[in-house]
Amino acid sequence: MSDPQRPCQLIQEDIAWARGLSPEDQKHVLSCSACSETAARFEELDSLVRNVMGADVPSGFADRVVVQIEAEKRKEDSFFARRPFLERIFFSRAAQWALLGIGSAFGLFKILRFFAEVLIHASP
Amino acid sequence: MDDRLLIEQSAQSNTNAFRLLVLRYQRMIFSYLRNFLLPMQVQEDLAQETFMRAYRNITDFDSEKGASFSTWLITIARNLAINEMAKMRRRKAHSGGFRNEDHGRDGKSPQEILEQRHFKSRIHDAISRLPEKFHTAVVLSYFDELSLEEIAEIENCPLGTIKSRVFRGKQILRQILERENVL
Repeated sequence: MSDPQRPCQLIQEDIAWARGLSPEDQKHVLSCSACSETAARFEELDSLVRNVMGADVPSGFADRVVVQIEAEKRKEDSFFARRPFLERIFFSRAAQWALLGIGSAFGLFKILRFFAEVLIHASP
Repeated sequence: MDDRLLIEQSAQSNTNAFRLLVLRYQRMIFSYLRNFLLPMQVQEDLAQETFMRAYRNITDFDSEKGASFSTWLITIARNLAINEMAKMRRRKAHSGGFRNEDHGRDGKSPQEILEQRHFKSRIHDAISRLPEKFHTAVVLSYFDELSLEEIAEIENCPLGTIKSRVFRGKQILRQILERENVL
């Protein structure tokens, strides 16, 4: 069953949210003194805040970001270019994951072998 | 050009594509950071770091999961700004400084200090004085490009909570502005 009349609190939250009201809620606001007072207060506040909200972006900002990115890339490239092959492998994320996987598998194998040995010795 | 294509290209190290993304979202990020009332130079550094981090981690961004690029950027900027605010508070606590001392530290001229007291600054000052949990919800509610769902994702709380925070936050903001005779 749909609720024909939502509580004023919910309608006032929608007024504060300021992205439009349903036709039923608009009708309610016009006939309810508390809601229309809230609408007037938030309308005044919103027009004030929206006027000052937009910020000026310093000129050339996007270019500076790109220059910084390219500088970082160059630094990274030269870092790798200067290092020998084996060292470069250790800095690669894939290689690090592979080493971690091998290490974990080896550890797991040792644990399983330990338990297997304990069980074999414990059995009569 | 839509965001998805630019993000894909950026992930393949195409800086021209990323430049377009920066141009598209820079105003939103600056507008957001402005409300933390940090010095201009710090705002610019944080905006730059926001985009740098976005570029470094762009391969982790997955639009398929329903996240929008703007939400992701705002989350990065928000975390950076909150960290910076905490650092500034610690520095202030050590030096025993007051808010006005910041102006001196930023090297602003008396003319600029007077400008800071201008009408616009008083509104930003009022917004920055909102309690943390209301601050983000109120500020983001003024960005029409962000939906309620996106703000809830940034704030990591239910939709209803965001609406309540916007409502209560705007009430508090109005009270502050009335006390300051701005409204």
